[in-house]
Amino acid sequence: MLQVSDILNAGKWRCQAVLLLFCLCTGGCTKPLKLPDIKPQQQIVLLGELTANDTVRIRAGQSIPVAAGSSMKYTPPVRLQMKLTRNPGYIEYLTSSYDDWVTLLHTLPYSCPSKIRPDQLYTLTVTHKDLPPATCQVYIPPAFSASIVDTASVWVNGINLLRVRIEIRDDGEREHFYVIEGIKEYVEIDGRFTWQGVRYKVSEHESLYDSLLRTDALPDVSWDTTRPGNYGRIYIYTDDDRTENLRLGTAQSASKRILLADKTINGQAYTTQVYLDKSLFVSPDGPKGPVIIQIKSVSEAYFTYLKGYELFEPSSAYNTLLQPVKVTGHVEGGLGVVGGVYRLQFQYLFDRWYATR
Amino acid sequence: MKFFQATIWLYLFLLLLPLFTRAQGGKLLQTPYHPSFTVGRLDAFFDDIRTRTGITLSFSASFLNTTDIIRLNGTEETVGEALAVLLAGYKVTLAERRQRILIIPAVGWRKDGCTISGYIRDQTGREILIGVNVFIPALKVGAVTNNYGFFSLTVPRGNYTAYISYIGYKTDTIQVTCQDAKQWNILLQPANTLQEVSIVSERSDPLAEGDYLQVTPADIYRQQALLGETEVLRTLQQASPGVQAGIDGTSSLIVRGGDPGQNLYLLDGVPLYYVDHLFGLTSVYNTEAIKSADFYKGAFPARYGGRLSSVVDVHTKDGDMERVGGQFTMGLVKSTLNLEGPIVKDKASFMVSGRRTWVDGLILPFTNQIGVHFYDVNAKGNWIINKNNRVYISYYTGRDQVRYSEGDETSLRTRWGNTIASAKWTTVITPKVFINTTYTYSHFEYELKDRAQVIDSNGISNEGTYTGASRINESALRLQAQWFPQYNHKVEIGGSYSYSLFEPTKLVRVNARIPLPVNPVSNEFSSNEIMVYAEDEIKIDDKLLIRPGIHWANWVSEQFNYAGFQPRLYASYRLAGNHLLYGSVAHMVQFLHLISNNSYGLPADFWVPSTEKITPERAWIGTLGYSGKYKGARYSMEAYYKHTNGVIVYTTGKNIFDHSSRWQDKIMQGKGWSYGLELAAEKQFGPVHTSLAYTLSWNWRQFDQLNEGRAFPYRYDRRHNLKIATTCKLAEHANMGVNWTYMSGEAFTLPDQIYPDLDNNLMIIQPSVTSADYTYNYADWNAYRLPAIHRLDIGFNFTKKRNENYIRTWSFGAFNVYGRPNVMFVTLRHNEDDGSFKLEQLSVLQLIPYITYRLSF
Repeated sequence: MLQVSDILNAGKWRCQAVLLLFCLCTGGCTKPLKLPDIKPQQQIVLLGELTANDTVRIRAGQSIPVAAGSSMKYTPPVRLQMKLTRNPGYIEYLTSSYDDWVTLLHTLPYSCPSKIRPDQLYTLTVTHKDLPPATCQVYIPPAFSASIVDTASVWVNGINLLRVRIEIRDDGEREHFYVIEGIKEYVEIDGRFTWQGVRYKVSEHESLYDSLLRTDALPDVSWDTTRPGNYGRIYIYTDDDRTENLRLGTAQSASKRILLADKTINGQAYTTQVYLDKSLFVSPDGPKGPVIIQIKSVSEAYFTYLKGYELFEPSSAYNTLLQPVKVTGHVEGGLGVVGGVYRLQFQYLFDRWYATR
Repeated sequence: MKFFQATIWLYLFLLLLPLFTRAQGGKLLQTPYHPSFTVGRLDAFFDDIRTRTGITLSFSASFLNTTDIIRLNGTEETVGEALAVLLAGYKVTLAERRQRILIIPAVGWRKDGCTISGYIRDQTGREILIGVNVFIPALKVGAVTNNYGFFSLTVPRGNYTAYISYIGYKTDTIQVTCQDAKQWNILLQPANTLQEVSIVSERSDPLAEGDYLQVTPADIYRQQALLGETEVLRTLQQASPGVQAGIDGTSSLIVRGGDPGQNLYLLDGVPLYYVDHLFGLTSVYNTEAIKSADFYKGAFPARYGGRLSSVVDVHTKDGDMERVGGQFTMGLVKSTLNLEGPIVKDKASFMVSGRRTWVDGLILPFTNQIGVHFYDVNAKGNWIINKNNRVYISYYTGRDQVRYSEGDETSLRTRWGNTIASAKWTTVITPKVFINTTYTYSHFEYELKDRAQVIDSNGISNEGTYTGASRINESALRLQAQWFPQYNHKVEIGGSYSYSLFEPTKLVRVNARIPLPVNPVSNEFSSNEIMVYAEDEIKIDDKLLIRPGIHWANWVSEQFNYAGFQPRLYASYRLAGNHLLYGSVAHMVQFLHLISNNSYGLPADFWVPSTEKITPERAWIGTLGYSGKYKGARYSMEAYYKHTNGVIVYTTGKNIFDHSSRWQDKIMQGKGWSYGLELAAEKQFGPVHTSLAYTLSWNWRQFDQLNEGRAFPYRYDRRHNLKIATTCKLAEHANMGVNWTYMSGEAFTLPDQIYPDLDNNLMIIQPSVTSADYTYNYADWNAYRLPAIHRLDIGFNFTKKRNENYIRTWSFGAFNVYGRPNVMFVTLRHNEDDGSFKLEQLSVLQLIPYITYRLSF
């Protein structure tokens, strides 16, 4: 089955397919091979962002060693002791909970109500009775100035794109690492109506709702929009030579994030433009919600991780013919990354939604 | 750096060594000596002096005729008095050095010499022969024919018998009288077309030099052929220690830890940029068109440059000057037809050879999904204008195509190929001076049509296509002059100018729904390379030979200017008996880089030039070796160390056509070093000839941006590499060959941990999120090893000779007889049910039989 990693390695998988077909003609066969007989220990995994002026929410899990006897079964570690400190004398303990995503994401959410302060260095220390302790330092960048200059619908190669021009006003005093991403928030829209004295939810009684709508007997419906906090990534493009994306890939490569280090724009007001394919977020039958353009200033360690992550495809298969992509984290004694983020975000609503559905 | 400084000092010392041999006389000449006899040969008196006094006389036979009969006065009391009489007829001076007396020619002695020169050719087809030994036993001096069959040997005036010997030919003799300055035109008679011959040429030295190998078609045919494809590069893999295949079964060369792109491939002196055909199963070198191939993996002659690891210099046949004939070969994969003959008898000839795969036509009725084929054509003509002037014209063109279709649509099509041409003029200015002038043209092009990455509402898909191209054009004018002032002294100087046009990557067209406009940008640029070299081969005495050389190249364009001063030194010292110590130091500079994703012959390799940002690759290689003979067995042992700066690696697995103008950003440069010990031995046991080549080696790479800057083993860091080849003459017209190969497994990178995905955990869900989304963590680069590779190949040749001109050969055998599942690559999977991990290896080429028919007419 074709996998996304194959696509990102455009050209290579088909070369290999030809080669494999050729090999099969020349006596090719597959055979199990012994995994390294080593006993690497599982490690604590920390994944998340500490965002300035936001509460603390990260997720934690544990890794699986690739070795003989290991099993691809993630077990979220319970009873992790997670402590967030900041000089001078600030200590906060994070508590875990259980949400619907644990099964899919293999991690538990950890949080605390305190808000993260910008331009501060936090230390996250995690211990567990069966796992080696993990710690990481997270620098929260200070406030920065950026804005969206304009947006436009443009047609390129017959494709309707949203062009977003962004001005970043770099202060020139510190080293900044900027990240631009486009996400779509998936909101839930549901209505309630009363029929024959009974209160109904539209999502739970769609057939009744539809029949009443058809017969023009539908009473007033009160619509509610809830925001469960789920997002979808919108792949984003750039043709800006100063971005890391064009060092790593191409103007034609779909990026998760646009990465721009300030070393090439230091102290300037710099305007860059990114493109998002509107067909991805304007879909009559797709999920509804605003498109959010996020402009972030992130910690250097997080920026380094994201550079590797941009090349890495999470669902990629591993084989020895492909060059490994190393995603470098900063969790000492563990794995993953906790990014320090100062975030600005701009929302646009493109979806059209009618009460009559 | 100390190593290099020491090397340069050693180099200067050896270069100046001859200046220090003029020691002053004294005590040794006063040593009492009473001759055992008064009349005898000069060499007998020298032996008598050594026996009775323990004093060794050191001299060169180039100025002493040791067979002269001398009469002493009978009154001589000392060594000095005896030598005064014995050497009265020679213009020499004497000097003492330790326990030796050096007999040194005085100024002007050379006027008494005479020069024997000429061409040596095959008697049957008048083909010039390369590397033929011309040896005069009385003087213990000799010469070797150069790449154009020319030799020159200056000796003292006298009458001599010279022996002409060459592997596979009957040894001939000529009587040299020095009475006239005629040019010799010697025809050697083949000994036996089926004769088992040594693969190692003895050249001028009876003991082989470990870093040099000469391969003839006979050597190539003796190798067991994968799918019947006899192949010069696979012969080198089998015959030379320190040389290994990339992936087993392919013809790629990994020489002493070098990258595949660090080998200089020449065809009639013209550089080739891509030599693989058909996934590396065979190369562009058509065995039927080959006359011989020279292979160097160290001690590089100064005329070669531009690559770091090895030189494969293949010479094609000139064409039969006597009659029209040829060969037809039919194997499982392709057919070859070779035709050659005279244009004007004994004056001009031609050779045309063509190959094409036909297996693609066979599979077409069954599937149209895959299409793989190649063809190539070699052509050559030569014209003997007169005894001193010859002209050669050669041409090669070849193309490969790989196509993969999904449904009715071609989703991948790649084509690549070389076209080269050369015109050479060789002239003998004087019997001592030979000049070769060559104009060469080389064109390499590569085209890839592939699916383009586009997006739609379901995420990324491949609905469009793009076409990328890469090409190199090179024109060069080369001059080579060889001067043979004395039998013990050969000077070669030369130079070249080449103009190259590079287009490393070009996005030609896009037919896809791609969001951002694609400008078909071209990053074409040109370079000029000027190269000069000089080399001096000097036999200091009958034991010591040194060959210092200089190669200087300047690579310049509007954007960059790189120069490479590349000293070379080879030295050998003959010990008592048939034992030879030799060593070499060479500095090599490579201005072109091969970006290689693999070495299994797929078109995923690109040549890119050095730029302002990407510096040339530079290597120092030092070797120290010993070779000898014992009871008919030949053996050698050689240690080497190679250090390379500027080796490159492609930063990501992405397509280089991605963004043409930024390709330099996707390349990392680092360094590599390798060292090892190579052993080789061969012996004839009656009808059985056995050879062994073993390599113990370590290969390392280091890049600042990889593996956190730590050194790691190179992918082909194979600790042990053992090759044993045996041929047996079963009957007059039947022989059998058995090869066994063992290689340690290659290094590979395996993730040590797997952990959940970042974006999912930020609640930014991928378009197609699954619970299998995870991140691999790599702790160390190339920290794991694949299983060792070994296999046994067996082949038989049955030949029937109807008459001198009609010979047919059936060859059959099997590759990997015991079906060893050697690993090509490995995938990591996990069991969906219990989650357990497993590595899965793909093995190919297990028990592959072959059959080949060859008709020579």
